[in-house]
Amino acid sequence: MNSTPRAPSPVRAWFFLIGFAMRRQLRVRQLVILAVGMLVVATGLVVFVTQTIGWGMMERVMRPGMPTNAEVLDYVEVSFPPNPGSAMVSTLVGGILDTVRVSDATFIFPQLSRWVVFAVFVGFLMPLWTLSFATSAIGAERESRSFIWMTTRPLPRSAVYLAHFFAVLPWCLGLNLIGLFALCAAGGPSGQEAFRRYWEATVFGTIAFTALFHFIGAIFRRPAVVALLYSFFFETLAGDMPGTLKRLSISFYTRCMMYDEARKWGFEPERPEVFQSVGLETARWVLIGTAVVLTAFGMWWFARSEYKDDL
Amino acid sequence: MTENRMVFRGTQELEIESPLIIAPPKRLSPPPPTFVDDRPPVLLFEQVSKWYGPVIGVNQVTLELRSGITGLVGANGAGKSTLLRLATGQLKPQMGRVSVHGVDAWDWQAKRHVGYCPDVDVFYEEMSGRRFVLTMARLCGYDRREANRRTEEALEQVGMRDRADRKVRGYSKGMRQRIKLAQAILHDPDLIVLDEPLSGIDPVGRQEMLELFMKLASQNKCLLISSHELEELEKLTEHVAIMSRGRIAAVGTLQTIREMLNDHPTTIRIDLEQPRELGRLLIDSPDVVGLEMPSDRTLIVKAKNPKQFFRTFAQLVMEEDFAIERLEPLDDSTHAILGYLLGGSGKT
Amino acid sequence: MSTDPLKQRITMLRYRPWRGELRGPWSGVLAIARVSLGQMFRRKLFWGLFGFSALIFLFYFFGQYLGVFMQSQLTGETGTVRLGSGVGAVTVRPENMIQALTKTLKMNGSADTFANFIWFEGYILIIVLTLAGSVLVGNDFSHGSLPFYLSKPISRWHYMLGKCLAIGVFVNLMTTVPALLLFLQYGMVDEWSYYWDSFHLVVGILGYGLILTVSLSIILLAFATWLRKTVPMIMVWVSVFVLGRIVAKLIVDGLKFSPSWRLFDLWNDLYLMGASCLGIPLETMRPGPQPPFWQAWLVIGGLCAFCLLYLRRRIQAVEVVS
Repeated sequence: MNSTPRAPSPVRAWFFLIGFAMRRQLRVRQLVILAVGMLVVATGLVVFVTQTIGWGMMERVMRPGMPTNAEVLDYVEVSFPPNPGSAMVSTLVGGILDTVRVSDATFIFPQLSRWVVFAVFVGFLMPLWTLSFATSAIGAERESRSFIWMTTRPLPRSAVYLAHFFAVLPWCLGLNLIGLFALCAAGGPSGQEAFRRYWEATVFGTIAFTALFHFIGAIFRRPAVVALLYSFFFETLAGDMPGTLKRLSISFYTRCMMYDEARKWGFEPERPEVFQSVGLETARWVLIGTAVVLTAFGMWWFARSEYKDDL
Repeated sequence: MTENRMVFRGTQELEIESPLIIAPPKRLSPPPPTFVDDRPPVLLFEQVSKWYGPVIGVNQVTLELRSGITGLVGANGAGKSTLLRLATGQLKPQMGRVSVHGVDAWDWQAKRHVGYCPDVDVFYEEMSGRRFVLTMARLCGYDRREANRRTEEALEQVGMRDRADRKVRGYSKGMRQRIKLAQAILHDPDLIVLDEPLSGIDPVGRQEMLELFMKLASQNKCLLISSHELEELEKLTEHVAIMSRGRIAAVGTLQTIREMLNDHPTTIRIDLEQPRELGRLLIDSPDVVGLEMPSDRTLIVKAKNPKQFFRTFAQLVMEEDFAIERLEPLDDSTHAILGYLLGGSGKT
Repeated sequence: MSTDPLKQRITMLRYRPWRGELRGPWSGVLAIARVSLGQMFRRKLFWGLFGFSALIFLFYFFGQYLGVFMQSQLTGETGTVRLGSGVGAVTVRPENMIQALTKTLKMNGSADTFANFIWFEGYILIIVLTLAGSVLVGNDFSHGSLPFYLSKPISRWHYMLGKCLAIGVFVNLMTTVPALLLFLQYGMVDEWSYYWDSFHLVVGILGYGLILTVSLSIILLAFATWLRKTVPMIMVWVSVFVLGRIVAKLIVDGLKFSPSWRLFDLWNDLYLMGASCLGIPLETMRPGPQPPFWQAWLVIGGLCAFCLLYLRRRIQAVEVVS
């Protein structure tokens, strides 16, 4: 090597590492295919429900084998025809039936929110997608033992950690936002309204989840399993408990943001006294603060760790 | 009978000029560094200790390297890999300090001066060799043009330029080693740490690699090579550090180390027509501690103080006019020295 | 070897060739299971997860004890009981507490107790099996240790059986064994006649355990062989058990479709199979309505058969390639 070297720049290396780590997420094609596959299945289910019985109550039945609610209302209407002799009764019955039909339209948004957004998306897809990509950022490198190429470069270790976080964040955000959009779009006009209301909470929740799972990926040798334990054991358990334990859960604050946005549509927690929601601003700051603190702590931790087992 | 001449050159060396005498194998290494330098050493271990739980990996190691090739040898589990990982900043010592050009080895800035060729055989398998080395160059902080230039130079040096476009997963072991070496040298480091670089390479490739190491050393780089291929290491360098149970058992040239082992006699093979007569005369020498005659033309002599013995031997041969057909030290190799230091056959 | 007879005799004293008989490949199955168990047991993460499962067991253990204790200590008391004294005293209604423990939580040594206990253990068991799949099978592929197994005089099915045996140990450690301990405990705190009167529950627990062992090990092996890496394995495994439950709940409880749609929930299907072994009537099961038992048997049986066919195909493919 006899040429005059140009000065290498760690900043340039850092930016390259972000791009490189971002492209590396594609190497596990299985991951991307499975994520898309799950989205297709979930979206297909939503489309199926939207196109058949819809999210309102009209096409529902009280129990299997019984007529739909719309059929019941029609039967009642037929049973009480307008009658000059009992105008008050006819008017009353007609008014009740109209009220039920109109209010059904406002029932769609809460139903869609409860089942599609909260149960399927926030309760399952969002944490699982985020977990899968965020724990792989460093976790997969450790598992495949190619981490040595990172630790022997002239880059601060904390910068390596941060670069991987910035590399995986677009993947998580993209997948979650596209997933939410697809699910909501499949739910019809109410779904589109749901996306407009919930996308911001999804962004904040994704950032916090990504920071947490990325941190877990740096600490544990099997980060995906630990993250799974957190998501589907602790979050499920804490979310259903009364008291303030649930405030340790990231999805709690995500839901708080969503409930705050959906309040004007009459969508609230089933048991507000148990849920004890916090305000929109509080939830926002907590989620961002969680992401910042976890990332900063992760950088410090990673800079000091040796990863003997991976050598 | 061919006349044999023995020439004393000073008090340090004895040359025996005869076509019938097998000289010890010549080493290819450059002269060991002897200059006095005020700059901090390239690599410095200062009383370094490293534990893995209750097991000590490296125990109060002090080692200083400036330039040239240093071989690191030792039995399995001696602590060689731990030492190399400490040098490359992958591990932190619990006691002591490891520094590269005065900078703590754990510090990222020290890694600018270090090129590491690890023993692990993992790559980004889906990449081509060229792409892999280029990626490593970009991760060192070079811009695209400079990274391309350095990549091509490094590939040229390791002899992979025309084969670098294939995916790494299709490479042979030797090609993978070359790619590892390419990424280690592309940023022109002052210290190159190589962990088992000859492992899995065929004899022809091995010679090419050795020549490459020599070339790098001649560029005033410091190479620290850990290897079990002691014969190859001997061709490469006289300067070795021998590790045993986490400690540096000995460091220096092979000759120096050998001479230090006064309690272990040198074994010399002498072929001649009258071994018994020579043996009768040699036994009177205080340096000779044992004699063996495996055949009627061979005498094996065990002697302390090799320099003194050879002086005595030369005089004796000249005076009594013995026709020496063969004179060969049998245990001047790294194997033998290792065996003496570590016990056993010296095989690692 | 020395030719000196004395040295030969000395050599023989120190070394004696093994004179036993080589056992067949079935002993290899045990060896593989033993090694697999060791691989899991040495991991702290496994013991952490096992600790969580022990929490559930302890919850039931003390719940049963508390229920029996209250029933035995507080019978004859009506109305309210004041516990403690001073400011910290509380007033409780014993029959409400007994009701909560025995009727609502079903901590009364009945078939529902064990069925529900194993249901709740499923939360942790699924995670443990994810870890087991990636460690026991995935690592063999990714770290290249599969040739070591296949180069021995065992068939690939023996290898699979060894892994299944290990998985079965984890499943039973977290479900069958603690359920049997709960059975034993209840008889000791209640009456000994409980053992004879409810012996069929032992059979039911063992049957449920066997169903879980066989089905989960086959399904897990198939997934682990297909996916190999931890994260994709988690995605699919969790989707099957968690998303399936959400979808089933949405369709049946939310949209009031036919209860047969609940068959999407695999853990519920296993629960139905276990309930049929324990003799729990379908109508009393919650959440309701539930599909008939035979449908659950069909779904799980079909899935296991599909997984076995897939495993057979994968194993054959390995033979062709090699």
